[in-house]
Amino acid sequence: MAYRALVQLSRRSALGLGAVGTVALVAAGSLRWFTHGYPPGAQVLLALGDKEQAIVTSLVDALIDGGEGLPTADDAGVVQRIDEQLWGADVHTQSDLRAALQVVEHAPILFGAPGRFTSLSRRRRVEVLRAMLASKRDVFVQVATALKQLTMLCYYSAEASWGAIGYDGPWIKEEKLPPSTLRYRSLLAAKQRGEA
Amino acid sequence: MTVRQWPELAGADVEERCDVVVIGSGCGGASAAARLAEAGLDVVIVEQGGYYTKNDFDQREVNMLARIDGGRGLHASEDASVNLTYGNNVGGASVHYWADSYRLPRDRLQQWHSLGMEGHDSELLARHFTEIEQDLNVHPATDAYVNRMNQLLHDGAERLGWHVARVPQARKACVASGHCMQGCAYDAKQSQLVTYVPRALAAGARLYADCRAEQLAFDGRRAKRLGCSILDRPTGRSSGRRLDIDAKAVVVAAGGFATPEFLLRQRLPERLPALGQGFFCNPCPLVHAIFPDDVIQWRNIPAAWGVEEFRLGRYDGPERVFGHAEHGRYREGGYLLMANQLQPATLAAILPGVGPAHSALMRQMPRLGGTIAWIDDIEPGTIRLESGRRRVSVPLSGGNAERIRDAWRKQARLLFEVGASELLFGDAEDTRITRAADIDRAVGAIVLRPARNVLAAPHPGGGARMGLRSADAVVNAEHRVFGADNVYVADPSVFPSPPSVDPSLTIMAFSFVAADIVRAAHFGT
Repeated sequence: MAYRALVQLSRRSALGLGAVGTVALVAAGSLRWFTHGYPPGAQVLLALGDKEQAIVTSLVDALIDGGEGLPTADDAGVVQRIDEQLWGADVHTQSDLRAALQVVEHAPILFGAPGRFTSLSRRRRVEVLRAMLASKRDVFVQVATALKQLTMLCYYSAEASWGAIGYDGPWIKEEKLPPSTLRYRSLLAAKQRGEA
Repeated sequence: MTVRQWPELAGADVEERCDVVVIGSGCGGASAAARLAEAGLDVVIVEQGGYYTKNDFDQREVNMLARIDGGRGLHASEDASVNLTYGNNVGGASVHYWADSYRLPRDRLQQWHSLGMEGHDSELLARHFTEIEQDLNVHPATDAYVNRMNQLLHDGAERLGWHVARVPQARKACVASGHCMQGCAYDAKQSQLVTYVPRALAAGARLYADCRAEQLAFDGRRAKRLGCSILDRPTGRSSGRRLDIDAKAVVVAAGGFATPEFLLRQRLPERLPALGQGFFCNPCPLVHAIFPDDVIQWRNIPAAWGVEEFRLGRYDGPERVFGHAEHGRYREGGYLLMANQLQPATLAAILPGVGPAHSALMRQMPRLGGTIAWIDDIEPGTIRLESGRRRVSVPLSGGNAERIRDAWRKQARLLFEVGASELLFGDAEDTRITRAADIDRAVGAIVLRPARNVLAAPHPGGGARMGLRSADAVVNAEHRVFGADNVYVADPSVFPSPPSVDPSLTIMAFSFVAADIVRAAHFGT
């Protein structure tokens, strides 16, 4: 999965990585993939696999500051919100997002941080993301921007985040969940009960 | 009124027969369907998205992105140069649009005629514009609908000597919530959902929501049948059920992205090399501004005032025309400037920075304002299929780059003029300035490359352009697809170049033209 995703992303975007970077990324991805497992995710989710959940959790932790009235990413349920977005996306978008997660996980070596993204300290993860966002190689900017945008969209759509930023909220007070969310939650509940 | 939709529709295959099937229910499809149905024709409307009403709208960004936005708002061009903004619901993009409702400028109509478009003369369009403006209650934004950001835009433009005008709005009894982009929960915005869709239904049209038009079956040059997949709304995927429609005429009005895509998926009677070429989308460079006191840009209507000073590009020598290389040296312009409006999640997604730097900006949200420019594209993009996937390409080079940079400069001048303390360009390098003297240097240094800039693509068109020959156009002056006897296009895909203003009114007027042609050509009425 990781190997294929990386190769697909490499081919698709011609990456701008250069041959060395591509080889390093793919090699890192495949070796790590085959030699290191990921523990079961802390949450029962529908779309994110264990490895992807670990990457998203590390990513969200680095991107979201919290504090001073802002909720933590956990309190805002950001990982589950991202899982729902991935679950509800079309197959092409799903494929792109999954590939982007693999790139983030295995790219730190190209930014001077040996090791998987999920194994880095928070400070190093923030540094890697900043470096990716400002990279001269478009593909890293593309990957980091897409994941950052998705994370921020999910975090600041949580009502718990609004007070600290001075947002007075929608005038329609009753939240009305869309059909995709209702289906997602129904399936998730069934999975949590061990029914799926 | 007949509306069939998920989940009832997913229970069995459906066969339909009608005079005209209209694919899409946005500005192009709904207005064409209403016109045809009110003329007494038997009309079926097919819409890929769901049918939602104001009772479903809760003003929450992510909930509404899932309901009414194509790709849940996550789609981008193939190299992530621009984010693709389009509707996926009954009413199409008009349900999330800003209600800006301009007539097509006379200069642009002349340009379209010079580019090979016939018919659609100014007198005919003027009659249609008048009718549509009455139907949608189009009127200039009044003082009650000017929020602080719009007032700043107006004041800045006046001080700089730039022409600024009230933006014509399609609204009735607007409550000024500021949630236009989440769909109007008050039915005040006069989208297709509350205007031409109900008009079409009242006249007997039958609407099938949650149905994706997929395949036209041809008998020689005549399309005989449209095959559709009935979708499972919560996932947007096929339910396995089919809707098949026999029709005497087909009107493709799926929008600027989906119409070229749909046609590219067909085995059309004639090869059309222009299909998917000549694409434009009004890429929108924006500038965030921090003001000393509150702006509250997220309330009231998005665009009450618009800076029209730079609508047309200015050149030393001949003006440049979309897709043409010959021109004088570019000086400035080629865009409209508006106040920007963003609710918090979307704003957060596009603000620069991560961690504390990002949250520090968000904490200033009440003081965060800004502007946006609708760039009148000058370099054509493309829509094509790659292994079955739609790929949209929007060049950020050449004339588009010149206009984007000039729009950044003009926005920055205006925002400093009205007291902004800091400007952010939202680019990957997080360019920020605090002095007007730094504008030219800062804008000149911004790297304009894929994924590095925040650019939306809200007004797609041109991918099935109108012209004289199939060698360089997709439809003729009658909106009919070259080589096909009874397939028509009625949406901005037919525009030969960008309209230089919000396209909604022009789309509807052109659909009226197309509907009258279909009626006369196939039904003798």
